[in-house]
Amino acid sequence: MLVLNSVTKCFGGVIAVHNLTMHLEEGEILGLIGPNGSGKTVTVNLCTGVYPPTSGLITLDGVVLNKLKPWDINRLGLTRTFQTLRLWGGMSVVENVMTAYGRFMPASFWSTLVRLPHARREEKIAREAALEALDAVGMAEFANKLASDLSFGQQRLVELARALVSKPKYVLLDEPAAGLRAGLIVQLGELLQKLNREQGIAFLVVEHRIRLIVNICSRIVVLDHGEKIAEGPPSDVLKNERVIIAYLGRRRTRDTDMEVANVDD
Amino acid sequence: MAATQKIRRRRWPFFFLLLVALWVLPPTFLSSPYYLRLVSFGWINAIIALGLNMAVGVAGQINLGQAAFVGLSAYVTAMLIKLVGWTWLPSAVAGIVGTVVAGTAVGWVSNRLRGPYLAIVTLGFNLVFQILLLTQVDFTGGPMGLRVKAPEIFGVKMNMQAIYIVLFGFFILIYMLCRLIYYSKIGRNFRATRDDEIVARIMGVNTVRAKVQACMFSAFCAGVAGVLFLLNYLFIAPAAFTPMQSFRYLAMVVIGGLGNLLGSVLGALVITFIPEFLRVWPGLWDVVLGGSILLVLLLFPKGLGFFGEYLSTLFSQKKIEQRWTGQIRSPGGEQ
Amino acid sequence: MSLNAVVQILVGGLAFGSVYALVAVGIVFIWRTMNLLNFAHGQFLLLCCYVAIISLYQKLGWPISASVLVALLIVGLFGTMFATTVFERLRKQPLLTSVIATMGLSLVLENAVLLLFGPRPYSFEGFLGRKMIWIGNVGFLANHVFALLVSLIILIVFASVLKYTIIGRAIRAVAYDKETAGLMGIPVPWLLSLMFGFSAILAGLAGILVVPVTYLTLDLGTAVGYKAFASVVIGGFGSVPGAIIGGYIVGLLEGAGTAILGTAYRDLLAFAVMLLVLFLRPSGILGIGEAERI
Repeated sequence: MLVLNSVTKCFGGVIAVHNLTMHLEEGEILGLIGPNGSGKTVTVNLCTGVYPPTSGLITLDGVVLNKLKPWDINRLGLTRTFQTLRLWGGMSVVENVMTAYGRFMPASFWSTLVRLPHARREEKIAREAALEALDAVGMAEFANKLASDLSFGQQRLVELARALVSKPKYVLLDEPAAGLRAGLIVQLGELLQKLNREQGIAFLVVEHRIRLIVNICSRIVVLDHGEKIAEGPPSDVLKNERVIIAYLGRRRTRDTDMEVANVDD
Repeated sequence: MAATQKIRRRRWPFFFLLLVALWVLPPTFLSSPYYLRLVSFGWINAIIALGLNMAVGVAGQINLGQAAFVGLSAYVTAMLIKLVGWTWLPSAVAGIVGTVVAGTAVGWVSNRLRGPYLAIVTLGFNLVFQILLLTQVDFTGGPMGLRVKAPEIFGVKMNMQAIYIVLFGFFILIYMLCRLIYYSKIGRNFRATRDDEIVARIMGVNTVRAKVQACMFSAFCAGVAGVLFLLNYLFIAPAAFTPMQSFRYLAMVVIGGLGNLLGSVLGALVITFIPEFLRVWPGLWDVVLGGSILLVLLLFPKGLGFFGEYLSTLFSQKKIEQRWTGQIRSPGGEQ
Repeated sequence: MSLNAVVQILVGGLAFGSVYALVAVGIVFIWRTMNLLNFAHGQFLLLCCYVAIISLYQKLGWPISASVLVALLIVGLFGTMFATTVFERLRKQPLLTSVIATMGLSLVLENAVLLLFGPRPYSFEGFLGRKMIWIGNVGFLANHVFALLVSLIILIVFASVLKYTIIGRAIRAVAYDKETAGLMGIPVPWLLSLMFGFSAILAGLAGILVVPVTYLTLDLGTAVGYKAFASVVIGGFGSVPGAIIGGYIVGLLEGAGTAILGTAYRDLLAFAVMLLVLFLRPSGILGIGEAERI
């Protein structure tokens, strides 16, 4: 379980996240929603070690993450994707994914340099794992293409493969549907559910598009101005008054109810 | 798969012949010491450029002081031979080790300081090194430099031809090392660190270690080059290791194409040989060089290396795209 | 050491310091607004001096003030032109590319000067010749004092322009946040080129001030340029007041270096301090720079 316990993060005078307590259970799909600037991406950054929390505790299966380096957090089985697409454009697709497999490649610099047998073996396994991950997202045929040559939607899928190749237990997805057209979003949702079902991967889905969240998440946490304002199954959360006010900024009426129902188009 | 194997078999003989030709022809046919040394100098510069490219083009670090690393190794070796009386081999090893230690220091620094700071640190190191060379005359011979005698193998002094052969051998070795690194998890980690360091960290790459490795390897290449420099001319002077010279090494890397190994070799050779034709007006060559850098940066960022790759694809049927994406040659040999 | 000698060193150090400060200010400006480390800055200085002194003054026989002014204009124009054509294009590239570009430019400029003017050093006595100013028993080189005063005046004028005029405010806005400044209607690219040209003029002026107290050689560009970078670092990277203070510190360190260690070691103290600052306190001696730790 990934747990945030009273986590606060300040940047200079700005409080991005305030006293946040939430958790991601093994094998669940959790949604994290909130209006712009509510601290969703900051939360993901905190969990993956981009910067340490100002106060509070973040633990993963009991291990404290606060002071760990990002690559050590990765080793514990936590990966992510990024809101603005961040592949390594100068490398091929399969190289992008293989690089993320480093967790299972312990061969030393020298062994790798002179191509000792165990180093060659691990390289072969890495390539196979990368192709497998690409296959799972349907991108195996583009393996040798330069990453920056792919379309936006394709690159998104490669990023997902990159997050999956190291067999993580928890994957944080930061706005995975951003920039995708409706058909692809549905496919993405189905893919996530499939991976969750078959491999037991827990997903935290940060999103704006409430429809996707509602369809695949069993539970939702809502942030506003860095604080948690609601938590629970989608049906409850969406009727929550505070949530509606946060998104629409006014009191709930029958009109606003209808607006919420149509909100993500 | 079969097609690839066939291509391999077709290309290898050509490259092997080229290699042998470059290794054997110059010492056999170039009787003028000046020109033989010049060709050697080309390979030395290629080694320096390759090392610099690994740190700068592949791993994305900034190093404005590569000439100082070359000079460090050259001077340590020369001083040990001349002042302490060691023979060549241990002196050379000491020179290279010294340079690698300095490279490790730069790698360590590159993890604490960002871009412009790292640039100025390396520049500062080069400047201080220059000053020390010029002032510690008792050790370094000052502006007049140091002369050493050629090494002996089994009591026989190495002549120019033998030196060339050794030198070229080292060039091949370093080029192979660079390729081994580039097409491996080490090289991928370097490139990931270069392209997006934060993401690399999150995806499990120990970027701190990667940067140190890159700087150490770059320094190693400079160290080897320094010893070979001393071997080639049997004479070194501070003027060969100035910040301007560091800039020229960067020029070789840039013109050849940042991140492109073959390009660094081509860039080094071009920049070593062309000035010979432009000696007439002092300064003209550097104007051309500086202008070329700007041209390349503005118009052909992929540099000479890309052109070289294109040439080599004329001998194989692989598309440029495949070559350019640094296609993984899995060590087992299959594509 | 006699009082005379100490005062000479002090004033000389401050004079050189003000020259470094002028060049350093230009460097910081270009860094803050264009994210560019201009390693060719010293060469602008070099070019300006050679054009003013050799071409215009000696060869064409123009009066010195006219030569200086025209040379400054030429250098300013050249800088502006360069900024518009080359550096605008490179702005979006990583730092490495722009460093290499400016370094390429420095190669071109320095060697163009070599090609056109030859390697011979020149000497130039400036506006005041070899006069000395005497206060009691202590004498100063008039050119030292001149350099000091003129640069102070220029810096003060510059600071006032920045603070009190509209264009000064626009420049500060661009230095602070380029995108927003653009959105506010400030013609950012035009202003950036202008500032680049102006920095080049500052460098050229610094050169004119320093040549009378040293020789006009090809090394002048790199000699002053590297010290200017050291000034920027020591005073606090990215800060304009830091660059100025850093300049004076470097000038004094130079003087101290010569006095304590001898002329051969003149530069060592300044660069060694620069490295120390980078390792121990990257935000500069005064801690006002942008401390860039990862």
